[in-house]
Amino acid sequence: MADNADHIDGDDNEDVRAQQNLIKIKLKSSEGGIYECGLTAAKMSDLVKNMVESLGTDAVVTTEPIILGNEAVTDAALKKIIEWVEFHWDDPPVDHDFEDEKDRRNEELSHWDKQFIDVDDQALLFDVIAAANYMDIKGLVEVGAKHICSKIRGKSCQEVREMLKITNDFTAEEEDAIHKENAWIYAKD
Amino acid sequence: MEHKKTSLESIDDGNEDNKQPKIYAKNSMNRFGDDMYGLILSYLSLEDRFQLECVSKQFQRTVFGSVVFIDITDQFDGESKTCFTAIIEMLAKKCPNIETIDFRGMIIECEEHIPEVLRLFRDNCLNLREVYCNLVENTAQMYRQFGPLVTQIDCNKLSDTVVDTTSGHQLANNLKTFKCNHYNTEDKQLFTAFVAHNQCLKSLNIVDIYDLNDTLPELAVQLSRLTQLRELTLGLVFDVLNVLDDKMQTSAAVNQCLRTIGVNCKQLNRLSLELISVETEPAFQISLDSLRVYRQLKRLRITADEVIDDRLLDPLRHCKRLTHLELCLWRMKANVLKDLHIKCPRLQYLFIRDFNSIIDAECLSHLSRLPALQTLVIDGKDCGDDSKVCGEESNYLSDNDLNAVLSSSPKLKTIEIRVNNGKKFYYK
Repeated sequence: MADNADHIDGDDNEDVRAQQNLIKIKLKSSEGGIYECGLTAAKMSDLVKNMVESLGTDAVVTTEPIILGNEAVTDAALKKIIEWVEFHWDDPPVDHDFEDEKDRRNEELSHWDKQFIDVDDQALLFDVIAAANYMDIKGLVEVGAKHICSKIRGKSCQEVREMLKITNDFTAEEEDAIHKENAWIYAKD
Repeated sequence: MEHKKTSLESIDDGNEDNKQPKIYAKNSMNRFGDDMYGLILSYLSLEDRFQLECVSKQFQRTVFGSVVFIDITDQFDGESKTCFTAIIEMLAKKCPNIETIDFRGMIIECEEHIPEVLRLFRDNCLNLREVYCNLVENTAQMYRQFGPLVTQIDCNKLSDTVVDTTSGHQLANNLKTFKCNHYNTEDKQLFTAFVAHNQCLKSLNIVDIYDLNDTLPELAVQLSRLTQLRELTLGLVFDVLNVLDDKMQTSAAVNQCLRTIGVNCKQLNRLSLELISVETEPAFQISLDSLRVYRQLKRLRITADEVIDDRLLDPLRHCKRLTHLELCLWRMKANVLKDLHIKCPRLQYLFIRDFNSIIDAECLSHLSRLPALQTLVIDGKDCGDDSKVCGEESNYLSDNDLNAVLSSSPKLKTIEIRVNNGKKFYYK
């Protein structure tokens, strides 16, 4: 299986990918905005990739835009998503021979990704993550998730609730019980 | 065409079936369903997960499910034994999806707890299938009970690992990853036995190999039997060699060994070579001509404090799949990097430890010709000479030079310059 993957990502294929990214397709947000995106970049979304493959590339290029109906795919979110895939489409492919999954999870975000995802508007941030999840762009969901986790790291429960606007539905007693159970972790430092 | 996706809105899973899904504010995390919640929180450290457990019920429900790996470090140091066990039991119950446990960070005094800890995890985490550990003689006991689960071992010497001295049994079987710190003439037989029982080994790291003239020929034969090997790290210690003939012989032995491995281990695509010199004045040039047989190689790292032949990287023109190259060459000259774009046209990632500040504008312009290069990392923190210490103020690799590389190189996205423990980024 590794061998097959090798061939797919092989020498010739990189040129094909670059060629294909010169082809522009149109993506339509749930708000109706239409945006252009390179084909290879757009296919980082498994949702788009499957649509392109079932419709045929020619049809996608010449006809109607691909409609992304989920309400998280706002104009602003889609613009951000296109910016991200246009930057990342020629990233080295994941090497499945190795247990890179764990390493990648622990890896810090790249400088570019950090700046990209650090948006002030939290509604937009959540839209981007939800839209990326809907469009099945795993790498971008990961960037969003890592960003949120890095923001709440080391914060208190109350700070996290305020930051992420989460409603606390525990009673004071329940909360105390959990604190007691986890006392060892607070005692550590 | 099945998509595993998470719902955008939380569905209130209360008792009343007809209840409408609640619509939450767009800037509130409440808008997400459990799957999405779990996915986002999966990047928290274990400690943070416990700290934040009582943010909300949804948080509590979703924060532990994604824990698949746990590193038992010395964090429990000082706890009484009962308390330690209670904590482990709670951990195991809260995180039922753990697949892998890493005991390698555990301090020696706690190692007696490993069998007990393993039992707790095994009883609670049904997906547990991999255990990483250090191996010293007194943990050998564990193997009788948990042997099949252990897939990764770090050890100091093969003798700790391979044979249980009391029963004579082979201990380490069917490992995937193995790291051994020391290897010399005495280990030859043990290694043969080890290889026979670990044919599925995918990653091997032998940190220090001594007696090269004697050990390498046999080592090459044994490694050739590991046809599943994907990743190999060899630390070759060039110990005291007074006669030039010996050095020539060692150099030949290294090349012969690498050739044999390269020809036989067809799956090997990551190779790391450390050429360690114990002499202060190395007197001959290392060439690694045998790298030419590594046709499948994707990632190569060479660390050397020996003198390096200017044509060290020439054989790489035969490694057509090479995408990652890391060079830590103590005595590197700029010529080594010349024509790299011809030798390694598919290179995407290049790391250079620039010990002697040899990278200048001209050198950079050579590198900018690499047609597929996306990431360039130059680590210049040990430039030594104070006038060249590459702080922000210094003129070691000016912003202009680096930006020029970025704009002239076709695919380069990021340059990372590491200086004085700091990092500076340039990107398009």
